[in-house]
Amino acid sequence: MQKEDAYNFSIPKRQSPIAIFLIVQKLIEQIIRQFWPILLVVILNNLDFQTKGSSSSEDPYMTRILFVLGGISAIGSIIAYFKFYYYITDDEFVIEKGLFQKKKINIPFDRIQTINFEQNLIHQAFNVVSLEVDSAGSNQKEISLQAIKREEAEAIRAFIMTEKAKSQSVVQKETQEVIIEEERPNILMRLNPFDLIKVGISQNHIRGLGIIMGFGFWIFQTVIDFDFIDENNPMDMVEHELGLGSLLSFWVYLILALIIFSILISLILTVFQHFDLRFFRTKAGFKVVSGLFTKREESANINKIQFIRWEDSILKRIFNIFQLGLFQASSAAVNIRQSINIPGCYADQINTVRATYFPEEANLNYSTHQISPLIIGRRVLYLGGIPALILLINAFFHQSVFLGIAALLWPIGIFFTSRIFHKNWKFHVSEEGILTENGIIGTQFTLLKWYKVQAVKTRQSIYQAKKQVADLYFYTAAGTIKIPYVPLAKAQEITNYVLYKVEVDGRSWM
Amino acid sequence: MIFENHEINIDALPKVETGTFQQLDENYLVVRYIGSFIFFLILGFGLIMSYFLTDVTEVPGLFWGLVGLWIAWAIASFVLTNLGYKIRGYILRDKDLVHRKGVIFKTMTTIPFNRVQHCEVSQGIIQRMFDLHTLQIFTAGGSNSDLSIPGLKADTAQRIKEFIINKTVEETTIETAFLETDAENEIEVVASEDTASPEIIKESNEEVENLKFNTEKSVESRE
Repeated sequence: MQKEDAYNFSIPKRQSPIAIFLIVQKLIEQIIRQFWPILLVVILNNLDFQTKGSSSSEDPYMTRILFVLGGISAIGSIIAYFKFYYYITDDEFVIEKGLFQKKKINIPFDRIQTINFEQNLIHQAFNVVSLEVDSAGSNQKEISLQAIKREEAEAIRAFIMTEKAKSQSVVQKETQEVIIEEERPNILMRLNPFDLIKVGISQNHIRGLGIIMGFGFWIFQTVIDFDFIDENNPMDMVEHELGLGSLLSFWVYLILALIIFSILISLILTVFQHFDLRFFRTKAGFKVVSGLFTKREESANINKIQFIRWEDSILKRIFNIFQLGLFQASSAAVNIRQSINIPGCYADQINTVRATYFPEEANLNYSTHQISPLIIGRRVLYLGGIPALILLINAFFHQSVFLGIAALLWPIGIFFTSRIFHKNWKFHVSEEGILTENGIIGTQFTLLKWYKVQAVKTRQSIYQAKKQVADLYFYTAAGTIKIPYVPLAKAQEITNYVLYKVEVDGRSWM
Repeated sequence: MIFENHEINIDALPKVETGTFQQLDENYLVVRYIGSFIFFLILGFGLIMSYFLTDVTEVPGLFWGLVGLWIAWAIASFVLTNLGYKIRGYILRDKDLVHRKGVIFKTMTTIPFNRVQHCEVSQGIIQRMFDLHTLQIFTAGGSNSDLSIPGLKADTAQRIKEFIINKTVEETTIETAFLETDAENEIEVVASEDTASPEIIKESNEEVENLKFNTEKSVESRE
């Protein structure tokens, strides 16, 4: 508490000067990200001109424009920095900014959902953090500070959270009780290097594969452009170099290399993102700290968590680990940032989080239900039939037996996976909440308390209407949960019950 | 029966599916026709332009195929608009609002008033000609579950909006009033029962501070 007194939050203050660097850095990053093809062209052209010795009037012109644009935005950022003030009043967090159009953003404490910190390398070097205040509501008011001193950021968070708790304690007795019970933040989990490797290996490697394929394709294109390879038949060259017999083993090596590289890439990404991940139970909820170069600290308030989701996959099952997601109320449309992801959780931690989110669950009886088997036919028709038709047309035009066989096998494969899909889709209903379970290879569990729901929808296609089934949607402030092909009578019963529950339950849902 | 162990009778719960839906204003159908008419007029204009300015005519049958598509689409749109108007509607209930729409995909959405963030009444250009309004209902967290009901008379839209706003205000005031009296009672009880409590509170506060300090330290040392 003494820490807080050291800062007087009510005086309007500028951010730490390091913010200027960060704003400029962000700007450059953004420019590169958006205009990299142009930049690449400019650079390549430059190289080309240098080697060929020819000059063009067009090229330096373009470079100059880029420099002028960059300069203007850099000056803009510096002015923006000097015109940016933040302060805290009795019950609001306020930001004033803008040169021509003055803007004042104020977020009342009770609107504030979470306050998150982030530290990249520059932040770490100067011991500052970027601070992000997330508020709920559709009017998208959000505050983010580029750089302030770490201690100050912590003091601000502590101050706002205490004030918030004070004002809420009058209204919400329940939350107050919870806070008193669990005053100390205790560590639930920490990823050691070995765990990290497990998490990395059991990631979804498709992303890594995509990166490699993209990169490989780009190189291939470039190489062709530079006439190193005969464009008409690059495989001829490989064959020529390696000899006919080696061609098969070339493919085997290529595929092996692809697999190894994609695993390696996911591993590296995992280490960057989740290095030294620590998962805490704090007095208000949960907190996650992680990252190698960019340290990220995210917290989730128990009340703000709308639903939780955990999943395994074949690889994760080998290591007995789950990926856990806490979905909390947020202002912007739901994206991955708003849900806190904790990879490499064991059943223990899942159970702790589950019990914290849904303490009543222990005394509840779930009744288990399945979705309608009609979904199998529909999946075969749409996911199997349409691609098969396209394949068949292609097979006809190219006179390809291979494509013809593929067109036959594809729907059969879809049929069997759809059967598994149907068999694995279960929802467990209780008086206070619902647990859904689905997935073909891995299993994804979603746990939702009824009073977190803010709208219910049933949706029927013409076919579904004829067959008396409906897709059931539960909308929450953190995203939507969908159950497909629920028998209509069941869907209606659940809808009516959930509406009753939401209307009767007085607890605040976010 | 899906829910067991229950004091309330599930069958006695108000049912969304059996309510009678309020249809939108008749003129809204005209609004939709005008909208579609303008859309297809522009498309048709594009087709005519393409006939004179591009070489669609060089591929035999392409132009007339496109015209056929244009006509088929227009007819389908007309039929769907008609059917859609018949299906689209709302039920204003005591505690929530039910909205139904869609021909190919029929959806029914219900938003309880105590989950509504705010309401708005807006008006498009064509709707203005018939003095019709759209009622928009917003919930928290993105636009997924937001509702908009078009084709309402000015008076109706305003009345529904006020009804919903009153409901949300009512809910919260009752809630806080109830809880506030509760909290006050509690404070009185505590004060009368135990005069030595401030010390205990102080002690426990210190303990809490210590714990906090320790954990902070340990986190730092780990780093």
